[in-house]
Amino acid sequence: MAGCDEYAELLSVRQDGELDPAEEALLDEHLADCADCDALEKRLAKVDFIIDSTDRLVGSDRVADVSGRMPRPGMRERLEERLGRILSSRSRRVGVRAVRRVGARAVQLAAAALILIAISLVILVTGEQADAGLIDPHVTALEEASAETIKNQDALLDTLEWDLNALKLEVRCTDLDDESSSRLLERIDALLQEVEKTRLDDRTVMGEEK
Amino acid sequence: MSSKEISDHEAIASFRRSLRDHGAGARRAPERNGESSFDRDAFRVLYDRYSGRGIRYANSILRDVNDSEDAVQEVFCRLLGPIARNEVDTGRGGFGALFFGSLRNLCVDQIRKRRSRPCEKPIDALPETEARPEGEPSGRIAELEEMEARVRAAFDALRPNHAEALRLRVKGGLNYDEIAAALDCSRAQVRTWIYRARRSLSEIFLREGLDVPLASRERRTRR
Repeated sequence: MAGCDEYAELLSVRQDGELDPAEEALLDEHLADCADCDALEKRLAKVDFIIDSTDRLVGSDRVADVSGRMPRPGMRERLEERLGRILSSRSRRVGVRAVRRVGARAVQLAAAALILIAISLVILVTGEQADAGLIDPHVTALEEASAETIKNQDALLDTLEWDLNALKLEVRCTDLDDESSSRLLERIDALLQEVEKTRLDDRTVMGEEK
Repeated sequence: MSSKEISDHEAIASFRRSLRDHGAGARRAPERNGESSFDRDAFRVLYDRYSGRGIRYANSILRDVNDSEDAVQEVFCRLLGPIARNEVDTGRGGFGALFFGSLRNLCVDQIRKRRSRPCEKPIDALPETEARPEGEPSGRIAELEEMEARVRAAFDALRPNHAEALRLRVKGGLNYDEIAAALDCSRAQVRTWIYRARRSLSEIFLREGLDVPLASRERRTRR
């Protein structure tokens, strides 16, 4: 067998169907003149058959699956059932996390909306009091600052409205059940109405001032 | 479309889409009897392709078909995450490598657990004879049992990498690229390891007079 080692490996590779055409031709040429490698090829092929034959025994408990059927009937159905349960519990976990995330965002935006509304109310009240002559002249500085805020009010309200609409879109795209989704959408709509009301009030005040 | 016409890649893509649809909106994928729906056709392609080979491979390590079935089921469940996150690398052995790599790790863990677990029954308490399946001559079973023990001993004598590569090839039916990915080595190494394993086994079998058993010879003749 001297000099046959490089071909011996090719025999094993051919058995696995992984030989390329060039190697195949080389091997065939060698086998035509080498009885030892020819015998080795048969022995190597036999190894796989012997290993394969132990498939008919199914373990130390000696429960023999003589039909050789693996997997045994019913396994797929059991596995599909298990996968369904895993996905179902995962979906519920995702849903709870989504509600928490969207809920936290809604609270932040609601707080921002309330602050804006409160600022608007302060401005409105001080404006009315000033008109009625109830405010000390020293408050003029505050009035000037408030006038600047009023100018930016529309921009702030626009931003808030945009954020709330984005949140609505996020709620619609998130994995929520119908009840949670509609409850959040209702709350966002209520905040949007507040924003719109504040904007109208501001415009009224601005109009009166002019 | 039959499962043979669908590649692993297509089946995984379809399965992943169903998982994504499922994850993106519970309203779109309603639960049925407390279970969530998914693309069962795509799943069955993967199941039909890998479960039998997986059990044979696991059984060659665990020596228990029930444990082997459990291991295969567990691997399918564990691979839900990588499939959903699109982490099945088609360039590096694909699903086969991922499946058998995970199965191998699971089997090795099981063996370690068994070793650390004390034997529940004394050997004397084990039954001397077990029930033979109907229709299978006891002589043939005995032949196969003896063969199994000798093949196992021969495998134990191999280098671990050589034995593992051959197991993945013969029991798992993986090609060299998939084995290389599963064992994290090169294709050239796989080629050499498998050859060396076969060569060593053939010498052991020849020395011990181990031949293809009667049952397999009959199957070969019928072919």
